[in-house]
Amino acid sequence: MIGSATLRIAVSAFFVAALFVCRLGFAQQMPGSDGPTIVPPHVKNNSSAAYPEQAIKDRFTGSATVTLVLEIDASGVMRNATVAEPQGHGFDEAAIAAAQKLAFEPATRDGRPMAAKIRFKYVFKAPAPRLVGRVATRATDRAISGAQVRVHDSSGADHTTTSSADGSWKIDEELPPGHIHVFVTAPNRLPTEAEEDLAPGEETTLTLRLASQEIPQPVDAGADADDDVEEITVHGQRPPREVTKRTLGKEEIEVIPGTNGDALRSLQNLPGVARPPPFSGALIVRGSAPGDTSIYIDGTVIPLVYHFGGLSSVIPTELIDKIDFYPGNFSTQFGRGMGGIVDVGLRAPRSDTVHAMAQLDFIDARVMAEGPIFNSGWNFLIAGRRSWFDLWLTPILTATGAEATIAPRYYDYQLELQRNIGKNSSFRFIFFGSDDALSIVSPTANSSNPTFGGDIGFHTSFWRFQARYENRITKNTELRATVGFGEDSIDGQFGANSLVTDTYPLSARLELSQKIGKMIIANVGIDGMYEPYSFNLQLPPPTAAGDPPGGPGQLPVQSVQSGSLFLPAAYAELEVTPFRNFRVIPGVRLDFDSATSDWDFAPRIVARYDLFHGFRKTTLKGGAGVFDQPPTPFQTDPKLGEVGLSSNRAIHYDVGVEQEFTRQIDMSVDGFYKSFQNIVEVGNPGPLGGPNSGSGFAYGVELLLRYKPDNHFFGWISYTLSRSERQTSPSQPLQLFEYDQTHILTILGSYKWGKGWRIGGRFRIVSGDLYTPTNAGAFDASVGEQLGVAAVPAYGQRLPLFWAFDIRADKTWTFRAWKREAKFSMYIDIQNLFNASDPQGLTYNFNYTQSAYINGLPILPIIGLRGEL
Amino acid sequence: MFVIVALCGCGVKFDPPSDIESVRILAVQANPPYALPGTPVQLQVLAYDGRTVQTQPMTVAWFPEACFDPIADIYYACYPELAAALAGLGVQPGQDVTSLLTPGMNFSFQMPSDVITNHMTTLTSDPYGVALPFVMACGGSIRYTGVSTENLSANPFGCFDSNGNALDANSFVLAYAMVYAFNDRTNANPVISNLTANGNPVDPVAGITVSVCTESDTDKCPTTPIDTVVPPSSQELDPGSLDAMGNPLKEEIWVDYYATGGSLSDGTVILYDPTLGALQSSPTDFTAPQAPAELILWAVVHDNRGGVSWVPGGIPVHVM
Repeated sequence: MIGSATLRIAVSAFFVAALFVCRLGFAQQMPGSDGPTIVPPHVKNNSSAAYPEQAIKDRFTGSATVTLVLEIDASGVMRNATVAEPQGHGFDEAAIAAAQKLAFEPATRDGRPMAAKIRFKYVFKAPAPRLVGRVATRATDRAISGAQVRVHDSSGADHTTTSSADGSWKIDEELPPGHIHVFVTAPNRLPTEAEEDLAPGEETTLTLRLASQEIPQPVDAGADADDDVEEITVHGQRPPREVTKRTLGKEEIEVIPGTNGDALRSLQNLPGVARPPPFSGALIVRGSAPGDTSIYIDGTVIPLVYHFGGLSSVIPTELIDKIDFYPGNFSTQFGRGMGGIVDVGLRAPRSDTVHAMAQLDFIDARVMAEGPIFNSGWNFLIAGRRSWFDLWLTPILTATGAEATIAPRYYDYQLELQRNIGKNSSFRFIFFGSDDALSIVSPTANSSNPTFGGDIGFHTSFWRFQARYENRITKNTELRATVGFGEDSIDGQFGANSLVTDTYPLSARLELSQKIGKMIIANVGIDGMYEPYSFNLQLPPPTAAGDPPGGPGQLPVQSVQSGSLFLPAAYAELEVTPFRNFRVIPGVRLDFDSATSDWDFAPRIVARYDLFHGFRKTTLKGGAGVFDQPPTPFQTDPKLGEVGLSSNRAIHYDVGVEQEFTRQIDMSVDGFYKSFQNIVEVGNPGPLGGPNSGSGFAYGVELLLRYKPDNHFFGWISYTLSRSERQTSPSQPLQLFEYDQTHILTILGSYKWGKGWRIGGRFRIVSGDLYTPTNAGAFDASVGEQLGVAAVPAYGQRLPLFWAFDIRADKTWTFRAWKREAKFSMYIDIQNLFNASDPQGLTYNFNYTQSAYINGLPILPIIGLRGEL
Repeated sequence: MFVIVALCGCGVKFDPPSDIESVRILAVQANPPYALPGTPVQLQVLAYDGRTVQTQPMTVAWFPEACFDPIADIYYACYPELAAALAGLGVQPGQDVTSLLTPGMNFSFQMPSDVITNHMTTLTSDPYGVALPFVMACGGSIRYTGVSTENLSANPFGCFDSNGNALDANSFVLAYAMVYAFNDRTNANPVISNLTANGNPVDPVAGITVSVCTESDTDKCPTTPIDTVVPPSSQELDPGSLDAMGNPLKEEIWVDYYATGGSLSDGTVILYDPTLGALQSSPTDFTAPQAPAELILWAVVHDNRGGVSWVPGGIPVHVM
C-alpha cells in the first residue's frame, strides 16, 4: 500500500550557488565600474513536489533530477516552466506542478523589478519503503513475542527488531528499496528466513510462521505444560497416544498435485493407504475394508468422507486446521472400527477482522466468510460449496451419444461459532452437512437383463450439529466435552429395487486428562452413541415358486425395519514416562452394542523410546491392541442378515522407527500385522449378513521419507509393501482380500519459486486391483439369459499396474484492497498428465467370450480461480 | 459408482446378444410348461449355428435324464447328479459323451409322480416340484469335464474340436429349462399371433424384404420397425405373485429378438406388465446390413413362468 508518500525535495545547491555567484558578481562592482546592479529573483515560499505515483508504479528506485527553466515576471510571478532535461516516470510533470506554486521576489536592476529567466532543479529521491510484519506459530497462528527479526537490506546493511506481545514488528530505520533477506529466530522455534522485494513508498507486510523446534512428541511429564505442541489444537493439550500418527498441514494439503487441493484426498498419498476403487473415495487402510476406517470431524463421526466420484471431500480444505491419520493401533479414545482413524480438526474462525474467500474451478464453486461478530467475543465462519459439473457434463454425454446421461451434483455447507473464555477454555458450535445426488437415465433396457434399464437414482445426505467445550482447568487437568446430533439419509433407486435409510445419530464424548505426579497422565472418558434408524430395502426377489429366476419384472423382496442402536463406551489410558525418553501408554476400552447385546473389551498398549534424544533423534516405537467393530443394522436384520451376531475383531501389532536426518528431513519405517477374527460373512444365510465365520490377516511395511515444509519446498516418498488375505470360514482356503494392493509408491514434491509461483508434481505406481474373472456358465433357456460363472478363487486375477503423473502450478498475486491485504490465485491441476490408461475393472460381452477394460479418468485438467480478503 | 460407469457404456461396445454370430441356443419350449406329476413333457430347442466358419457342424443333444428337485432349485445342484449318472455308466472326466446323449431338437421325459412330495417344503408357496432338462449345442464333440468341487457352478461339459482343443462359448452352449409341477396350477406357452413390419402383418414364409443400407454411416440407415403381437389371452394369472392385497398378479410377457445380420435397436421388449397389462406398442427397429443378404429373424416370446414360443424356423429377411 502506498502510504503517504515521503516528500523529499532537494533544492539544487547549484541554483543557490549560481545565484550567489551571480549576486556576488553583480553586487560587486568592478572598481571604478559604472554598470547596473542586477539582483536575481529568489524564492519566497517553499513549494514541495510530490514524488510521482508513476515512478512508484514503475518501481523506479533511483534518484531523479529535473531541470526546469522558469520565466518570472517583474512582479515575481512564475509565468512559464519548461523542462530542460526530462527524466520521465512522471518526474517532469511533478516538477512542473510544484513549480507552478512557487512565488518569487522579482529580479531587480538597480533596485527596479524586472523579468528574468532562471534554471531551477528539483531532485527527487525515492521514498523509503516501510517494512512491518508479524511472527506466529506455524500450526496455530498464535503470536510469538520476543522473536528476533533481522533484515539484511539491498545496500548490505542489517536492521534488527523484536516482535511485541501480539507478534507484530516493524523496522523504523529507513530502508532502501530493493531485495531484502529476513531472518527470524525465537526460543524453542526453528529459525526461518524469507526474501522479499521492497518497493519505494510501499508498505510491505511479512508474516513469518515458525515451527516448533521439537518433533511433536507426547508431553514429557516433567516439561512445562504450557509448551506449544505443534499438532494439537490451541485449546488444551491432546497428547498423542498412538504408535504412528501422520499429520498433514494446511500448507501442504492445499497444493498437493492431483488432489485439486482437497484435504482428505491428500491422505491417499500416505503410506498404508491404498488406491481407492474406481470413482470412489473409499479409504483402504493397511489391508482393511473401507468400512473399517472411521472419519471424525472435530470428534464426531461422519458417514462418508467424499462426494460422488471421490473428486472432492465433504469438508473444504479452507476449514481444516489439520488432519491426523492413524493407520492402526490408535488410542482407546477411538473405537468401533478395525481399520484406521482419520481425525479432522477444524480451525477456529479468524478473529482480527472479517475475511472472505471465493473459489471457482471445473468441479465446483465455493465461498467463505469469517471474522468477529462485532465485539461480542464470538467469531463466526460460514462457508458453502456447490458442484456444477452436472451443468456441463450431461450435455456432453448426450451429445456424444452415451447410452446413459449422468447428472451428479453435490453441495456442502458449514457454519462455525467459537468463543474463547479466557486463555484456557473455549466453546465451539459447528453445523455442517453434505448432500449428493446422482441420476442416470438409460433410454433403453439392457438387452441382457431388462431390470437394468430405466432410471437409476442415488441421493445421500447428512448433517451434524456439534457443540464442543474445552477447558484447561489447571496446569494438570484438562476437560474436553463434545455433543453432536444429526441425520444420515440414503435414498437409492435401481430399477425396481430401492434402498431408503434414515438414521439420527446422537453422540456424546467426555474426556478428562489429569497429570498425576511427574510421570503419569491419566485419560478417562466416555464415548456414547444413540442412533434411531429406519430402512426400507427392496432387493431382487428370491425365486418364487413356479417362476424361474431371472428375467425382467421380478417383484423385489422388501424389508422395512426401524429401531435404535445404543452404543456406549468407556475408556481409560495412562501415559507413563517411567524415565526420560521412554513413554508407554496402556489403555482399555469397553464397548456395548444393543443390537448384539455384547460387551467388547479391548486392551491396547503403545510404547515410544527415544534411542537418541535431541537433534537427529531416533525413536523406536511399537504397539499392540484389540479393535472391535460391531455389525451393521443390515447385518443383524432378521430378514436380510442374521440374528445373534457378535462384533468383528482385529488385533493390531506395530513396530517401527523414526529417524531425523536434518531439521527438514526425517524418515519413518513401520512394520504392521493385523489378525482378523469373527468377521461377519455376507450371503449365508441372509444376503447382507451371515455368521461370524470369517478370518484373515494383513501385514506389511511402510516407509515415509519426508521433507517437511520450509519456505520453498515440501515433499515426500511414500512406499507400502503389503498383503491382505481372508477366508470365509475355517474350512475354506485363505485367498487374497479384494482390496489387497501389493505395492504402493508415491513420490511428490512442491516448490515455491517466488513471486507467487509454486509448482509441484506427483508420481504414483500402484499394483492393479484384484478382480474375479467371469467365464460362461449355463444358459437359462426359460428366461433367455446367459449366466456367468465366477472363477475360483475369488479375486484371483490382478489388473495391470497403475501409474500416473500429476502436476500442479499456482500463481498468487498479493495486493492491497480496501486497506487490507488481498490475494488472488490461479491454479491448474492436471491429473494423469500422460493420459495413462487406468484399468479399473472388466466388462464382458453377453456370453463372456470377450472382455475389455473399463478405464478410469483420462487426463483431467482442472483450472481454478480464488480470491481472498 | 463402478456399475454406473459400466452402464453408461463409457468407451466399450460389444455386439449385443441379439446378433447371432456363434453357436446359440435361443430357447427351450416345454409343453406344457407346468406339468402334473406322472405326465409326459415334450421339449423343443431353438438352436442355430451362426458361425461364419463352421469347422465342424453343430451338434444338438440332450442329457438323457432330466434332473428333478435340485437343492434350492439351483441348476448347478444338478451337476453332482449328472456326474453320478455318468459314473454309473463308467464315464470318466475327459471322455467323449456325444454318443451317450440324445441327439436332435426334440426331447421328452416323464414328470415323476413323486416330484412334488420329494421337493423341499417351502413355507411361502404351494407345494411344487421342478424338473431341469439339460441340452447342449456344440460345434465339435461333447466331452464330460467333471464336476468341480471348488466351483460348483462351472460347466461339467465342454466342446472340443477334432484335435482335442477346448472350444469357447462361441462354439458351445450348455442350457437348461425349468419345468414346474403343481397339483393345482396350470400354465400355457404364450401364443404369437403374428409379427409386424412397418405395422403390417408378416407372412412367416414369405418373410420381410428390406433395402440394403447404402449409407456409410450406419446410424443414418433407414430402419424397419418390427413388433410382435401376442393376444391378451396369453397373459395368464400368476398365482405365485401377489400384490399388496394378496391378489394374484398376471404374468409378465416379453420378447427377445435375434437376427443373423443387420442390427436391432432393442433386443428385449416387454409386452405385458403384471399390473398394467398390455404395454403400448414398442417395436424394435431393424437396420439392414450394407450388403445384400438372406437373414433370419427370431422373436422368442417368454412369460415369467417358463412359457416360451417362437415362430418355427424364424422369419426370413431378404436384404436387397
